[in-house]
Amino acid sequence: MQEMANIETNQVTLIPKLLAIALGFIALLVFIYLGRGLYAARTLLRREFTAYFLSPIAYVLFVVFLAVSGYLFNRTFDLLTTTGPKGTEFPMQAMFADDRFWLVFLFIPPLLTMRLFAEERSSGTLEMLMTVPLLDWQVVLCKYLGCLGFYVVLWLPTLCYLPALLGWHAFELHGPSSLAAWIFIFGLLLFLGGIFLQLPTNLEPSMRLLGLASIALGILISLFSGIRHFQSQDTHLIDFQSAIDPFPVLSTYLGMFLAGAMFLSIGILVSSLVRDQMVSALISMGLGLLFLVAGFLHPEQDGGLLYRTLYFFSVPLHFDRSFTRGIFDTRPIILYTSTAFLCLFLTVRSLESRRWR
Amino acid sequence: MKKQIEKKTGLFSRFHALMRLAGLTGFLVGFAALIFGNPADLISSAKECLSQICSLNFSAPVLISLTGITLGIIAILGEVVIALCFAAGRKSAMGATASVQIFLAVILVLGTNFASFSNYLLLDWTRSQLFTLPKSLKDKLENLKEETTIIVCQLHKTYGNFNDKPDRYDYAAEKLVVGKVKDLVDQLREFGPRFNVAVLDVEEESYERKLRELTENAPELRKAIETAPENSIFFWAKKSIAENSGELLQRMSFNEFYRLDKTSSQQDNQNRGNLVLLPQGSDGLGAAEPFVRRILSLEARKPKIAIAVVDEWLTSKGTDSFGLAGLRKSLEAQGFEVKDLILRKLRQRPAASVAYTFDESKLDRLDQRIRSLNLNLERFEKGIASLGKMLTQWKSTPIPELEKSYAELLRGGKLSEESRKSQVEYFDTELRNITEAKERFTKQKDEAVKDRSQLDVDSLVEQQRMTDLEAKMNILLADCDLLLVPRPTLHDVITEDRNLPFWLHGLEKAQVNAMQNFMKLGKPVFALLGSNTEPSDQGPVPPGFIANDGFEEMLTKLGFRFGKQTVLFDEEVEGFGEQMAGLLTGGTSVKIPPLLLDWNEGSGRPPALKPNYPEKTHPIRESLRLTARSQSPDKPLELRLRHPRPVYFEPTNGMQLVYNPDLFQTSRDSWNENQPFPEMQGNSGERKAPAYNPDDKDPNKGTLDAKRRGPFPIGAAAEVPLPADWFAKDEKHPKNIRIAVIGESWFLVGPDLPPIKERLVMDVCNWLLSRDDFLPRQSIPWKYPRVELSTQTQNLWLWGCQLGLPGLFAYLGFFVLILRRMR
Repeated sequence: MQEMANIETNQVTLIPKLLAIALGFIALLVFIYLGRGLYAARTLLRREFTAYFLSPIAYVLFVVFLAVSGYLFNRTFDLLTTTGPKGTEFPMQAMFADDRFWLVFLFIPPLLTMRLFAEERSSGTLEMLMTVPLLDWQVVLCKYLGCLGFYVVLWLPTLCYLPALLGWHAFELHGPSSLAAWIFIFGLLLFLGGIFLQLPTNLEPSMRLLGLASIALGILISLFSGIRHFQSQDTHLIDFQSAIDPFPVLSTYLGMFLAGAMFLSIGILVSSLVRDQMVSALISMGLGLLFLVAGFLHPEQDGGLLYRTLYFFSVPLHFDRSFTRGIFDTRPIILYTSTAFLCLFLTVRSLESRRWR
Repeated sequence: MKKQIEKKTGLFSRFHALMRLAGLTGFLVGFAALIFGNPADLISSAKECLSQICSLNFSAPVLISLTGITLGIIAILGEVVIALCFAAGRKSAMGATASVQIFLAVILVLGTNFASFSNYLLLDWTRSQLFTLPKSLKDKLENLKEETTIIVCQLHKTYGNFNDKPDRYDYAAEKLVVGKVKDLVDQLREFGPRFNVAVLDVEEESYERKLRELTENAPELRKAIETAPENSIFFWAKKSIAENSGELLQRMSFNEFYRLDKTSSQQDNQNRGNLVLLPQGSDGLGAAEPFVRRILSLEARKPKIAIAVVDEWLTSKGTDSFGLAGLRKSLEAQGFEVKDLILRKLRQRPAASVAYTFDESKLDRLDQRIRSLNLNLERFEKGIASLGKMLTQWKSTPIPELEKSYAELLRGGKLSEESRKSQVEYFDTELRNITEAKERFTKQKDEAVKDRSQLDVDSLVEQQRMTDLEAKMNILLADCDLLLVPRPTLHDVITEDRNLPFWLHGLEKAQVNAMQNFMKLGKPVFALLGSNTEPSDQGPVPPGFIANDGFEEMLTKLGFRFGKQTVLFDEEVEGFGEQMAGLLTGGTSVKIPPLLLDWNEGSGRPPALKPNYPEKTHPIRESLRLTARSQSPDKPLELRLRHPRPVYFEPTNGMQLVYNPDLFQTSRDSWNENQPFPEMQGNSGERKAPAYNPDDKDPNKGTLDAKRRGPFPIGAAAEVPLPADWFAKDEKHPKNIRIAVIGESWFLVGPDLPPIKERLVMDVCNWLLSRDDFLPRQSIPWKYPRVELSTQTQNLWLWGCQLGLPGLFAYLGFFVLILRRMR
């Protein structure tokens, strides 16, 4: 009887695991397919990415964004070096859970995405773009990833704040002492190997694909084993001693990346629907505001349905309560990724509709 | 043909536009009507609207709203139909497929998010797992089923009101604790949606409304919130339906969650200040532990404390000057139940020994009062009858007849109409006065009768009939967990205000035996025994009173030693001087020094009698130390006990002490005095004030009672074994019991207990009840992280990040712009 019950329990726990493996496998196949598609469209991707660095608006964005985040850094740094009973337990929360930051952030994705399709459409180059031997999704993905790449670059200078915000005072490297550490190193080598494979210009497509797969796999393996390794009590490979917990930084940047991915996908969808850049930016801002406004209301955190619903949709609340404090909540992650995928899918359909309308 | 199509298309377009306009207008009007229906509360308005729809009984605004919204919905449906026709009609295969794909994608995304709304994971990536409950606590919470509401109540009176004006450290601590509570409740919610949290802030405008909403069906909760002495967290749940409808309630002060260490706060960060809090959980469990413990103990029975005193006026419902009302208030606010035990009838001559509950004593008092009032009322009635008769006589009888009747009193004098009138007025006034007095007394009697009727007279009378004192006391103490014996004696030897003789508290042997029986059950005792010194000119102990009842001897057998003297402080000498000089207010402004919580080993005793105590500080003393640290370093702990007697602890054979039993000591500026009262000097009528006067011929030399300078230990607490001779051969023998003794009791008296004294009592009671977890404790402190950098480096960071980075990118932007122009 007991054995029967054990078997049933095992079956119950086995089914979700099998499902997860199947989903993971499907996702891997999809990523390989997308990777191949992107590789074919690499020229467009490169063009989209570099175009940002040639446009003045990108530098205006850099200056404004860094001025605001610099001001917030200033405030946070002040709290970390102040006197008396003031301070902040989570510096990232002090910086990025601030309403002012989100007010500025609201403008960034629309400004980055407004020109993507609207400009092409108004200048008439969209028809030309549609004639290149690429599928619609490749065009959309290239534009999106180019934009997302610039968004990531926009955030890179803020990494300069970290030594001060975390109070780093020692940095040491150690040899691997656990299985997780070895797997982490393997993941890193896989990633570096993939990068190395991409370097030759005259490589065969199959090898180049192998390189891309190696990069993706390397990232995945090193990410998961890295988390396991750094959560364990073993001697860490990289030991940076900081006065302040560094893990909330990781979750904050990951959250910012995913939130940005969502807002940019909304922007790209709107840009594909309208002709005028300004209209595109304004509509994107309006739609983006839907995900921000609840955070500005500061709802009472009573755990009721209203609060939970507002929390679910409010990006500032996600950062206030979760990411900036080192909590990785799956709800916002699913919201960001699913919305991003939906918007990208709708963008592809929007482009496609030009053919049958 | 073309014209026909154009005509058709034009008609359709106009209809379409009309439909859209109607829909838009419908929504506008519908929502406007909804808002005008109840502008204050849109949700209630919508609910009202729904209820009217269900009952098909529409008011005008609801009807308008309903019509408008229906129009809007029809328009939306129309749009959907048109969209579908459009997709299906034009290049239908592509359009329809795309529509279906979009529809499915939207459904998939909505479904995924809907599922993730309630099925999610929270991964704690913090270095020290700040947002993860320890496994032992999780296991306990898993089984919890009741819906619990947690109310964070901010009264802005933090840390027990030690300061009248909370400073910035108090406010910062308060703000942080509120945040920590919310975080903890978030973690608790992961066990299901059975935890609700509400924050009440007395300074918020919405406080009254929130309180009303929260306590709509919770009168006990409301009472608890209204009487909360400081910032508190309440845990509240409704009792299950199977039980009587009642409330389960626990209160926890902010201190019991995180304790502010103000001293460390001010000294931290190289004396620049920080916020340092001590999480109050057991080792390794953090601040969540006391919090979870309260939730889990919601249904636990409240510990009951019996207070044994010798008269009703000394009870917790007694008079302000002698009663322990403040003690009851504090104990009840901290989750204890209090039961008064009255052991003597002091007003009876000779004083009799009893074992009464407060109600029994009250019944006696009320019966006596009603009897006395009845007697007075009878007299008043007689007086009124007699006066009425006289009044009638003086009003109606002719003057000559009156002169005859009162000839003896008039002694030949004559009555006039005027004197009759004045006499009538006099009788009239008298009658009115007596009638008023009768009414007043009747009212008082009615009140007394009403009070009596509220008592369970039959059962009280039944209880009173029980004459076996020991048995009755055993019964009364059976449901109690702790016995508190306060014996206030010397209050002020200078002004001689409210001093009580020690023999007033003497009990009969049977009563002391009952206390011993209580201890034999393994239950703890908290004795507060004031000094037993008396003025030298005091006569013998009055009949009916017992000077030595054996209670102290009983405690002596357990290891406690009581000094025979009273401790006087140097500060009191000036007071004696003022009193001797005949100043009206002489001696009233004496302020004795606070008690010591830190001392060198062996301090408080003659050098030859140095005790061999363990080094470990007693938890009560540790708690008081932490309490002292929650104040500024420049403010001493305001725990001052006047006229105490020394209390020593000497372990009996084989006793193993875990802690140093001494709780506190008097200041060094004190001495032990055999005769703390001013004494008459011969026949001159002059009085001599007590003063420290070392005597080489002191008969107590070499003993604990030797006359010497302070400090003196005046409180001790220990876990002691009971003497074997207390038990019969086959009687069950408890392992150890906890006893605490303090050599002063007046500090408990009064309508309110000052916070520091309340802290002392709570700590002692909690420790005696083995609730060591409830005592403030030292732990790994929480504080705001600080980054240590020189001022120059700080400035470099600030300017570099605030101006340098944006400036660099502005430069790059211009650089790229110039390069592009060059091309």
